[in-house]
Amino acid sequence: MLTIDDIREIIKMVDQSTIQQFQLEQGATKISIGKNALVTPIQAIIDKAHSPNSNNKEAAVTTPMSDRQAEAVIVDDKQDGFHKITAPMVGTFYAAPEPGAAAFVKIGENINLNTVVCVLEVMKLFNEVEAQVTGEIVEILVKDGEFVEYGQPLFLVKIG
Amino acid sequence: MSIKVLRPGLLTSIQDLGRYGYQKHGVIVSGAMDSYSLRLANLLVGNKENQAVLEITLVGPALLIEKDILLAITGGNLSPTVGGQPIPMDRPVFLRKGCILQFGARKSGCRSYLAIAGGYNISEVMGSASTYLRAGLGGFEGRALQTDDVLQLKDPQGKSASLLRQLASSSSASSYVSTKWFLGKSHIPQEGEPVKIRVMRGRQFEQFSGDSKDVFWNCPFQVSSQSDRMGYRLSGAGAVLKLAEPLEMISEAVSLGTVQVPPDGNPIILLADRQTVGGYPKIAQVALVDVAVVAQLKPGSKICFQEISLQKAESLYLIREQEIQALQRSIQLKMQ
Repeated sequence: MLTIDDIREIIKMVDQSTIQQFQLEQGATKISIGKNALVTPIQAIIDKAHSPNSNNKEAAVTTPMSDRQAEAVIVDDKQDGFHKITAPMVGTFYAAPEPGAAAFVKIGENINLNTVVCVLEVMKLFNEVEAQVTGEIVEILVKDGEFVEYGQPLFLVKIG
Repeated sequence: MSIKVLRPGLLTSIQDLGRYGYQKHGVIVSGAMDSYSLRLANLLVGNKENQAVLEITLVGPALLIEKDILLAITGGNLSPTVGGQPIPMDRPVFLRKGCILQFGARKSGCRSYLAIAGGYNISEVMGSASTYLRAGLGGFEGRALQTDDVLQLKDPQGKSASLLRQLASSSSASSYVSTKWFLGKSHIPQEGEPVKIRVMRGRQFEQFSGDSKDVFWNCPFQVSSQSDRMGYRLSGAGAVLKLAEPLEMISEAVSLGTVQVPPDGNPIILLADRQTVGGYPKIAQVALVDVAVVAQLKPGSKICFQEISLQKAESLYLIREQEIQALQRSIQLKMQ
């Protein structure tokens, strides 16, 4: 069984090497580490991804254990000028104010400080999330109905 | 310390959860047609669930707000605006003294509920502030609001008072400020398809003819214009409901949501201002959770009945009550 210390060691070793993709399976435990891209190695994501740069990376560690999955995503705040709008609380992400209504924002839409970009539902109350930046929505990082953690990136915004 | 009525709207009256304990003396329960929306409006402003609110029907009033208030509007969307700006529903909203709250086009539902933190200063009659319009009992002088009426308000206490102060100071220029959190729309029927109303079989269900039972389950019924707070008359596109054999009934108790069938064969769903007993055969009983849905239908709306068991109706009721309790807790936490 891999301990937290083992995992830390592995991340450190991969980080310090030039390895781009790393996968380890031991019994029921599986670790995938990918540099410069999210864990799923899809060509489209790699194309969009940021220039290979040791200061500019993401490490995602997933350990499937029975019913619970802990995902820790450590990211830089700015990547290639893209600002991340992150979740100010835990909750369920909804792209529209009501089922069937139009989404708050679309890719390519211009937003300002007070634009409501999504709602997070928790304990039966819906909470509006404001952009707090001015710019253009480049990407929507989560799906409608997905449960998000505090600090989880929700939108990529091109500032300006 | 009050609100002045500039325009009364179609039918705006003070209602709470109803006047209980006196039906045996022939006193009608009345109260809000959509009791869930009433309770949610009160919870949103930190009132107790049973506090009196304004029930607004189809065409809303124009109200001059004469002091700073914290309010919430729930139920059907009747386009509430302040100074030409739409104000959000289903959340606490601070309105600054001097602004005018108006309503416009109906967008969904039929009835809106306007709760104010601290409540309206209405004396209770037989334990309730509800208006029974037909008898001129309770509420604001026993009647619907009229132009130039002045509604006195009580002051908000505790958490609602501090939320009011917090919203008031967060933006000194605007005439209204709302929170960034709100309730989801649950039971308000959307336009378009016939609305499904869940019912149990009524006490005299078996006395209806086989054809009538089929009609009841399969036919979309339309809410006729002869519908009001006492009951909604339905028409079944030419089909009527008939008993298998003539029935001599002694009047017996009826309740909220009872579907009775008078001799003309067109069913009536009994609602807030219903009589206490009735002598017409009862084909069905609307599950309590769907009475609020019926209350949000307007003349012309189409409905289809769906049969459920008593156990299912009870379980839906319990689930709804748990949801409301959970909402009350989360709203209280938000207000801290």
